[in-house]
Amino acid sequence: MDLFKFFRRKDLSRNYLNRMVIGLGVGLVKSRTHILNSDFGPQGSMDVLATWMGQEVAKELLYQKKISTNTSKSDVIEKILDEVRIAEDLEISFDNNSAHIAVQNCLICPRRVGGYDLEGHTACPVGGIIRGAINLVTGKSPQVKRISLRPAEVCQIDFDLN
Amino acid sequence: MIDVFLVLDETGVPLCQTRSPDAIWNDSLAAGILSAIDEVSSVYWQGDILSRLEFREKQLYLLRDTNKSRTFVLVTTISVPHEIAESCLNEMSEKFAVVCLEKHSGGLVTSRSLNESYQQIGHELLQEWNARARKIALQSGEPYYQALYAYDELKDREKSSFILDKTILRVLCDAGTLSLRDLRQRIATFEEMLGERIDIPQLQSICERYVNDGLIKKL
Repeated sequence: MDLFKFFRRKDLSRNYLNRMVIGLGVGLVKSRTHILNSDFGPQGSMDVLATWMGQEVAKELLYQKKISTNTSKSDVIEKILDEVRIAEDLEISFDNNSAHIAVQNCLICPRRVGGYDLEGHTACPVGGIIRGAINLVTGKSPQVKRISLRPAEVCQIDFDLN
Repeated sequence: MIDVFLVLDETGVPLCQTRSPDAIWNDSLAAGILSAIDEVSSVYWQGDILSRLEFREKQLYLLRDTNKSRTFVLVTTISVPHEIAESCLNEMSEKFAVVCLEKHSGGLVTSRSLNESYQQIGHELLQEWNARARKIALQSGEPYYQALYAYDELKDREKSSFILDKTILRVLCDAGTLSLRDLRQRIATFEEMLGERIDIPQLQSICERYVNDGLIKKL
């Protein structure tokens, strides 16, 4: 009889994926009666789910001691984008309590990487992930001031960190 | 006797719901409403609490239906601050009960034949309450925000906005004018959905951004 045994490799970076799936699951449960509402649309549903994913990723960052509950909002943004590599080219700038994020060559873009036709919709989790993570760490959600999503091109998100 | 009294916002989300101790507010009651009042197209639940009624006609102000011995009252398009909603509700229950009795004494009536007159009565009451509610809020110094556009005009602009912000704008556009406390009450489901507390300063900051963008104004 052949026995297969799987050993868990200690690669903490893999935990982010697990955490995101956990967030996705709990987000689906918490929003189950709302996200199918036509008012939400794909981006709205993704915003809700990604907020939970962001909270879970932040828990992992705290667990791995990469951030602490005293970490500033801007450092949380930098750390989460650094650890969870969502794009090949990321530009982050901070100015007067605002954060500006430009994402190019995104590695999680359903259109650019997946090749799917999004039928004119967007489903970007970046805003939700960052919002959820900052809320979990600091207890206060940043305001998403502006989102400009152009799948397979350059997406830009501005946060108010006040 | 009124079994169920509901105050709903324009999107069908209950702001207040009361029921007599004997009333069983569940699927069978909802089915009763659905079968009797064809303006209601869908009913949504959160556990055994009504979370939303979807109407075919948005102009619906007030509906009453007597199904066998049960009476349901649905009130929509109301803007009453939470702290006075309860007293308004009681007052309306009394007034409405009187109207119900008067109508009943005139013979057998159906919800369809009553709709028009009840809508008018409801509309007058709601206008009066809205004025009272606004006066109280203004006296307390609480800011009111008023939408300057219909949401359909802003839908494309807000297409990729964060869902909370977009919903706040939609609620304001649908309601016309709202205080922050009212607004908070109307988006209360987002707290559980996003797993976070949505407080008044946060709402104010989002509203102020929309004021700066020229989409709403502060009263």
